[in-house]
Amino acid sequence: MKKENQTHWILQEIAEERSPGNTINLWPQIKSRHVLGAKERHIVTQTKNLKGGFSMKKSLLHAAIMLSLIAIAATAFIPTVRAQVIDWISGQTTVFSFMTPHSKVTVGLFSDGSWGFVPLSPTYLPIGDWVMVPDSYKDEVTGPDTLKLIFNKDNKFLILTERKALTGETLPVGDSVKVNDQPAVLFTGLSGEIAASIPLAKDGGVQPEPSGQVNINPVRYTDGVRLTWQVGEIRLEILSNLPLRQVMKIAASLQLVETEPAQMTTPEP
Amino acid sequence: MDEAQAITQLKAGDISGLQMLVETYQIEAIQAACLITGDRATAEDVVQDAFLRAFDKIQGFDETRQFRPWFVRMVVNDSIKAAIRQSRQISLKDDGEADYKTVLQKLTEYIREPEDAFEQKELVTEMRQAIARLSPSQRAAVVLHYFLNMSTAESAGQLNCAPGTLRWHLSVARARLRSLLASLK
Repeated sequence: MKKENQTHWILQEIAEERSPGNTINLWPQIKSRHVLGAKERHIVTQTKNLKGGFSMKKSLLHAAIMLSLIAIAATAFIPTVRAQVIDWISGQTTVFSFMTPHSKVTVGLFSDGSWGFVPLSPTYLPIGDWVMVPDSYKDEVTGPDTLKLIFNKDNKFLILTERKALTGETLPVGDSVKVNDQPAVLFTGLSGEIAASIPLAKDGGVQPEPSGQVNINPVRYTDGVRLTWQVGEIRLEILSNLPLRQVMKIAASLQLVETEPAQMTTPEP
Repeated sequence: MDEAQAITQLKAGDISGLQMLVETYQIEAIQAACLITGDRATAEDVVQDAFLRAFDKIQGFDETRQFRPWFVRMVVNDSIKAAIRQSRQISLKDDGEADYKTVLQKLTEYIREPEDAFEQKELVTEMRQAIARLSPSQRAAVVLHYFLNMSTAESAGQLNCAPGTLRWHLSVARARLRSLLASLK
């Protein structure tokens, strides 16, 4: 090696550690994004739920959100009552929990068993102060009760919906991908607006309005991803403005909440 | 297909011309973006966006000039923005002169080839830690000049740091490098 190339060599070594050249192949993704961007670019507006903070369809949801706020505040920021709150809500709710860089956050949602399945929840989220709000409603089109988990960090969001698959239901027509070897359909390049920005308090918790309601602001997105697939009898869909790689990683990390809760935030590889 | 033909195809609206450019520049672009952002996934997003934007903006590209500097500029600038967005907990001020000087000094100190694998690994680890302490634009300066082998003028032109900062430090670094090389003769 020539001495004058030494500095280049050092940087090359560092770059190869993080991004080995033989693992880089962008063309399929770029081509897919271009094709789908041209065909599928359309406005997706999802403001029927959560818009304005509390225009929910089911009165149950109001209680669920309030319980969620109590759970977040209590379990994340008041350690002395954390165990008591978890004990209290565990008996009558489905409990979702995840880690932020600062603390473990536990969120509960009332459930009367009408979902008909054990929900799945991500065991991976990109590092950051994420907030999650659960939602439960009856899908007006398909019928079954649907669980919706809304994750939000600054202007980034991920919405995971889960419901029991309909008899003979197939995946939509789109770009075929795999999630844990299961067939899935991907749409990219979506744009629209989602009411999912949940303001954080300075200590990292949710900042409610004086009335106790959560003020939910709209987030506009221009490069959204929608991923649809099935795990057993559960029909799953993710809508997010996170990078595709992170969405796929989150999708692959889903685990049954009752068998493996917590550990939602893990370092990037 | 050569680069000129690929650009002609792109200007005609044929996306297939982009494949040749992607295959030619993707490794260099992702590695440069990864050095600046410190994150592979972010780097891939930046570079994918840059290629698609290059296709969108190809009509404004002067084909008498080279594609690489035009494209690298997009990648580096977007990488700086991405790094700033994702690392707000790190000091983003461009006044980290001490760290910057340290990195440049280290770059010029290691003028001899590492003697064994351990020394190589130690050297790379030390440099990686030093570079991580730089602000995104400072990392970009190092990447432009030392990794992408751009000239001082080209690098400084893309830097947006304090006037003369890059040139002065690189001048000091080169002087030291010359001195050390001479002492080894």
